[in-house]
Amino acid sequence: MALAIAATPVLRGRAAKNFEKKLRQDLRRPSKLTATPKLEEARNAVKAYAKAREK
Amino acid sequence: MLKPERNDFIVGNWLLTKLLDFDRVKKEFDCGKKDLNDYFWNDAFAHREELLSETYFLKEATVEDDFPVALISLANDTVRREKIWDFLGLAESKKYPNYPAVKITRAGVLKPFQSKDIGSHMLNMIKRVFVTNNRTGCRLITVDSYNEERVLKFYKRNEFQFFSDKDKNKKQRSMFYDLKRLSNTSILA
Repeated sequence: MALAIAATPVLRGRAAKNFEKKLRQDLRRPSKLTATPKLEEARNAVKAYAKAREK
Repeated sequence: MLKPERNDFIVGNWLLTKLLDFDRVKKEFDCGKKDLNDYFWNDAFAHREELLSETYFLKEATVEDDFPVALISLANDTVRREKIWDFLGLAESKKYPNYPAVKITRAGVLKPFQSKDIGSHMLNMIKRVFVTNNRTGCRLITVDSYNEERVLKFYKRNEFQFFSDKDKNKKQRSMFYDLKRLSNTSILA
């Protein structure tokens, strides 16, 4: 049997405060979607794999 | 090819759609990690039956064959904060008693397509959907990650952060990503 899904931690007291602070600070540095330069290569690999499965 | 439906996410040539054929996963999905395979082969369906999580599969949209290139299971989650009033003041802490979240319970990529940015693309799709097309509020993405260097590095590269170091010696580590950071950027244009 696979490992059980772990519960998301409950943040209490200082840990909750620190988390809150971190969220606020991080908003000053917006996030971007992660670059995926190899995605076209992946697409070609998937197509080739599908073709090979047809045979 | 599958016809896009209500819960399908399409970005570029990739379609993320709800997994219905769990038998096919047993026959065709192998990500090279025993525990993860075990989850998708045996537990994912049971979790779906119990309404605990939904599993989606990623496919290249123009390929007729619907074999899963990658799988991701999602569940509703919340990040609870308790006893914070001592630090924030009661009024402020009452504004957001919990942060609504979506939890990535498990995610995996078919072995031949690993290390080709498919996992990151799938996370990008999830981020995008939960910022632009969500039916209810969702502030965070949480993940129950295997505590393995390669896996943690992957989530860090996708800007996930640890909640704390308390679980650093456990088999799994909890991480989060704040969607608000993304909603402030121009990806939504």
